[in-house]
Amino acid sequence: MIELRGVSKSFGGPAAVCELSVAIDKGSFFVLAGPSGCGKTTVLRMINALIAPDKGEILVRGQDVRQVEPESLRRSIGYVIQSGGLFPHWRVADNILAVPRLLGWSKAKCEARLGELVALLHIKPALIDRYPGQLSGGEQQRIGVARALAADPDIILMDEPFAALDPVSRTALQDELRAIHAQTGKTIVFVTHDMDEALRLATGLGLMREGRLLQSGSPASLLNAPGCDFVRDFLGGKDLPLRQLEPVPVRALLRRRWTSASVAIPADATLKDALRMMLAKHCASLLVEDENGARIGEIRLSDILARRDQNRHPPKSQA
Amino acid sequence: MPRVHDRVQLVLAAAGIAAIFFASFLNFAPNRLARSAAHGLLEAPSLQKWAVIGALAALFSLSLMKQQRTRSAVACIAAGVLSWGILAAAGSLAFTLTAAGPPAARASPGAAFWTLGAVAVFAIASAMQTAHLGLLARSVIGLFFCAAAVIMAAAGSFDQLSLVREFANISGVFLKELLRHVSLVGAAALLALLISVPLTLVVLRGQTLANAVLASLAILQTVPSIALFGVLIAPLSRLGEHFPFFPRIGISGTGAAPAIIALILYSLLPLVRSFHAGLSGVAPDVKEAAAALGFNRRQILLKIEVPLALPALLSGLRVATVQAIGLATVAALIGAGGLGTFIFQGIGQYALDLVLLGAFPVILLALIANFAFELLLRLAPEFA
Repeated sequence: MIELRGVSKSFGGPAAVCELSVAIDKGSFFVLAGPSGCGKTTVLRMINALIAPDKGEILVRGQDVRQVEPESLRRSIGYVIQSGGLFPHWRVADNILAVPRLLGWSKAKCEARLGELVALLHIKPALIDRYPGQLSGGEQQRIGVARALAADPDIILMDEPFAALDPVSRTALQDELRAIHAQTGKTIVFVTHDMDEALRLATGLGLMREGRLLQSGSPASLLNAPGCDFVRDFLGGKDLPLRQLEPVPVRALLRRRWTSASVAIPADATLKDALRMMLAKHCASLLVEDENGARIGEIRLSDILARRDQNRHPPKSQA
Repeated sequence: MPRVHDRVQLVLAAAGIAAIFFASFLNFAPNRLARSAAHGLLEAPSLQKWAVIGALAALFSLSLMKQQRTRSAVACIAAGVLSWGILAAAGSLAFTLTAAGPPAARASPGAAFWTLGAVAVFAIASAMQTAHLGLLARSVIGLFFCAAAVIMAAAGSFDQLSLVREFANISGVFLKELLRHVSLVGAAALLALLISVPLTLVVLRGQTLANAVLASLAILQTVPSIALFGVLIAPLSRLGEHFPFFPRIGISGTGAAPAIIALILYSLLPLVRSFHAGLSGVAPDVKEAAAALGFNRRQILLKIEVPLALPALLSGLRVATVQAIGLATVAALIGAGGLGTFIFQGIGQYALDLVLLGAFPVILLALIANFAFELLLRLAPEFA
């Protein structure tokens, strides 16, 4: 869907992005993580041609971005920025419908789409006629996401969209974004410096430092085989063993047998959730339920420990 | 010792009382050039005289009043009575004096009249300020006072005042010069707007360019207006000599053309500076979001930047217009006409009343323009 080949960019100093190559598959949720100033935002802005690379090429839907008219490319890609960037003089509805109107959608189509988005993102209907200045930060960012989704683009770029929000709003929006991704199968490129957020959302993960992509792959592959000390530290350092439990669902270690355990956990919860619950409830095994609440087996602490043991000496190879 | 709650009104009342006793209310002269004799307010008919004194006493005592709302209301009423008192006193005193004097006799308001008038205006302004009155209430009160003065004038109360007699002399051309003044300012403001928009877009392209343009406009602003009007005469008449087409459409060394050009040049700095400030004050993340969503350069400017910069644009236009109204007075010197004509005639003939007839409408025009722009600014929607 999106492919960067040997892309470099410098703003007159040291290279902001250096020889970066990555391919992002259709339908994946690719999180580009790294410390501030590592060039991840520049990568994002090059994908929709806000910045032209000095070297290398960028393909979106198989087409070189230089060959597409920049405005129509950008209208076909959703974009969310950290501060929301809502137009303060436009009402919420007009903000959401910005791109559909640029594309010349009919009034009826715009109205219908607005209704869909309000439902999809659980926007309070009362907010529709307000100005962005009258909204809380979380509500503004929700509108920002709705605006990015408005013209139903198949690609969405998000630049630290939830970084400035309080933990409660952030978690709520992360959950909603994950649900929307699962539901619509859009390709999302998401930039963040928050590793918890990255691991919570990503199906694909890339770690950047000083303009270079150090390692990329599935979250599990990075966690289980960090390529260098920087990646290991950024992924969690001492917390790495705990984080390694994050991308694995309880279902993976499920024992399908009758159990005497009394505390239940859903099958699609993560191993980290399971460990947390065992610690909280002082028990070494949990009852596993499927999405309908039917008991389907159990999970044991010893299985989690055994799994972790496998990773005590991870192979030192680049993914 | 009672507590003073409103020092402004106290000072105003004291100034008014001092003016009554120590300054002349009406100056009476047998003709324009003769030395005039001073007549005090106390010579006026008793109703008007006591209205003035009573109003001042009210202002004096209300400064000791604690209740802020009553204080403002009483101040407004007292100022109204005071205004009526001095206008009616001046009118009737002038009538008595001229009835006894020669036909060319002049009765013109003196220092006490102007001081008392100023006391009335400031008393109302201060009362409206302390009462935090809205724009609507202010305009209603202002209109009420203007209407009252107009009714008194129409009833002939002031007919024997020199100002009104002078006006009777020029009433044939007054409206023409007033319209001339307004159209000079209007044309200059419109053209300056048309020039400053592209100039601002140029200025926005880079800081170096911005500094250069703004600095040269600032230097232009320091040129004295009479000098600039004068300097423009030579090149424009040269232009007319070489291309007879220009004089034919009214562009020559004197008259409206150099006046409008000079007014435009003076308007450019406030316009470009406020446009520049307004447009560069639009939050960068909003512009970035617009670009990222696929707005093109023109759409970002027209749909995002200009609407957000509108308050700054309007206040720039307000400064430029008010300034041009004042500057256009000088344009009379190079034959452009306008209200300045009366001022320079008055200076030439040593007729101070004529000067006032030019100056008052200019002040009034500036106030009206200022008020109109303030109204426009209030009409701009608020987003938060």
